[in-house]
Amino acid sequence: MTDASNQIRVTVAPGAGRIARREAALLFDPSGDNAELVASFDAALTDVEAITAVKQHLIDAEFQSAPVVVIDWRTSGLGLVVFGDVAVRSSTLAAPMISGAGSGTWIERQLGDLEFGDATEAQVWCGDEADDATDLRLGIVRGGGVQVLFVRDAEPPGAEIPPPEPEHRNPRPPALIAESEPAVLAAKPATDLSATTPLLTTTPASTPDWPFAPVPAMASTSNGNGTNGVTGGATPDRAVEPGFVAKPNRLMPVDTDRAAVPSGSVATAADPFTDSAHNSFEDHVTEPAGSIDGLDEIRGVTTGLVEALLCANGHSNPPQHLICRLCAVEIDPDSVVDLIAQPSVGHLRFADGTVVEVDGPRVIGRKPVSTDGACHPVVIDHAEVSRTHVQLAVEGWAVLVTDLGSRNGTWVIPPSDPTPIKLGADVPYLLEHGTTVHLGGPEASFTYD
Amino acid sequence: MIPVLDDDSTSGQARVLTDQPGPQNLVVIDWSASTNQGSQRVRNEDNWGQLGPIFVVADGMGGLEAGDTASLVASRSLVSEWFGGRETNPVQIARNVNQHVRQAMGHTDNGGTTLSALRIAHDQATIVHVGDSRVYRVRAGQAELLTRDHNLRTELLAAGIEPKSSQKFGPLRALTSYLGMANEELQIDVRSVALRNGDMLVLCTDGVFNGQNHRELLDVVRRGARGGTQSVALGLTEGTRPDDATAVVLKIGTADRQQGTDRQQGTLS
Repeated sequence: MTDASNQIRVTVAPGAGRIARREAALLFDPSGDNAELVASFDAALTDVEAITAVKQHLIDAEFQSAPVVVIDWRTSGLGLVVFGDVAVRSSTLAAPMISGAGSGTWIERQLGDLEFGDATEAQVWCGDEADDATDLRLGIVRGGGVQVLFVRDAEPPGAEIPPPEPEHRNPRPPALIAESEPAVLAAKPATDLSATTPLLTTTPASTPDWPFAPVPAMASTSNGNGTNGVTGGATPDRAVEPGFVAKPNRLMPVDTDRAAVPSGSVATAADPFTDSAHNSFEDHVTEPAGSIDGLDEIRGVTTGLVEALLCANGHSNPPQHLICRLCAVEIDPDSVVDLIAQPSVGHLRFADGTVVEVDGPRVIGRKPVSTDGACHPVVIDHAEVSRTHVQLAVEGWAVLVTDLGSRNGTWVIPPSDPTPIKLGADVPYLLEHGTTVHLGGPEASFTYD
Repeated sequence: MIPVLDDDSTSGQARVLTDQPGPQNLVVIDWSASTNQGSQRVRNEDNWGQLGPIFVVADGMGGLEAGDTASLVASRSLVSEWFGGRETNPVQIARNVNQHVRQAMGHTDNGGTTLSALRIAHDQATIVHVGDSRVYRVRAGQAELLTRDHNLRTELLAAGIEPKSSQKFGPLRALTSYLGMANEELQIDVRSVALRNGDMLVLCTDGVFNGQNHRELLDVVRRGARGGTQSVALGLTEGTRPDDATAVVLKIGTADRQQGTDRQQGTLS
């Protein structure tokens, strides 16, 4: 629920660490020992590159680094990267606490939906109790804790704002919520910030028109003393750190062959019976994923190679095929398995005639959002369809559909049997060509062919 | 090697190997397992197991007794956790099994095991998979790989990097996920696949497909098909091989076609 209709506010706690905020991501360096890292996060061109820079830093440092936390809300959902002895907490049951303690590498989580429940707010916080009177909108500050407040579905301009509830503990003016326009300093400037001060704003005195309900069950993030308008956000230790020099963002090591791979597809290539993979006897190597140099770095890259056999007419086929999937000619038994960029492996044909090519991951629903931003959305505007109903993943030649806990369920009808089978939530189902998928009911459906 | 055998003593009675039938009433009508110690091994570190409609293979690693212990603990605890345990979420079951394996390893990094398991229910096979053992579905003369190897090679391909030209990351067969590693680093693949009357499912360790291509495997399956699953399982594992080779082969059919008695067989070593 962190789509564009939500508003974001970042508050900070006094302390000796560092917090860097970008447009849709922030970095928290609790120890304050990661100055270079903070600078490179801040200097990266895009939020994605900023997050990559953090991971690259950890890899380069061979994971001998002070703790660090990255929180992002780039496209939809919430992303967390947690490294070292530090814990991030949130008001969502999907991730009440994520700690990096005990892990040799970073812990990474993507949350698709913050659980607002009946509340209008959700929070993610780390470190010391953040000062409600602050509002970090861009730049680097000192701080010992940080909280990101998501406020659900802001009223459109001109909408009637409900009257404040008298029991509000921390009334705040809605003007302090970051707007979509470039961040600006709040009306009351901080007292000790230098000319290069980032856009850390402080709260003026309590105002009565905060339209939202108090934060539920979040004692650790409210000041709890009933006071308002704390001006601690203006303390000198939050001034921007002098001497920060942005360094060029280091890019992931790119194999030259990747230049030929079109972007926009995601695949985990199947490895069926390949000679190249197993052409000689060698034992397994038991090595944790995170300790293979650079492995985490390449994960999540959205281009893939797939093993394929080409028929006489040049059509690509899964390596195990004896007959071409497109023209039905027999494939030469002596054909050599090639590596090709992720091909289209089929189509989704919707009842209204819409055809969607399957060459990468998709999220399908009434108002679909992708947890990691990598899935292309496909909208079915039907009452029985959930906002994000199913996800489609492409693994080489295989297509997997996963019900994401939809309200009305998902049914599949494989070509071999007309009886619909209800999918279990969050259990991927391998789609066969000719399978029909019902989203919530037969009215909203598509066929994979 | 102590294969886990179904301890349900319904001797002489045809028994439907699924406890949750679907509309097609698909069951396991015939199954067999075979394992063969590799010529370069001092002991067979593969294990397999079966309990009701649950089948598993596990390929241990770590040397000495560690590999054998890891795969034995994994295969045994998997079938018992999945068959009668309170937990029904396959991912959580795999995590529980991982805890058993880690405990057996003394929470050290001395050993580990792959695990590829499936359960037949509702005309589907639900697969739980960690590591580089494999599950294939053979249908209409074509073999389809239902799992993905958790190794560096797969990761590189997914990232668009040609494995041959980028070996700086380490051995291509290095496992990126296996039982015995810390839970938070564990990748567990779970998926359901539809079944049809006549399908054959093959669970196997890498000693079976090492050095073979699809056509060779299919040839073995075809040659053995007339002799039933036992013939196929033996065909997939026989001969001198450097690595341990284990295969569990299932034939899917409708309940009314179930043949003879419930079979529990394997080439014990």
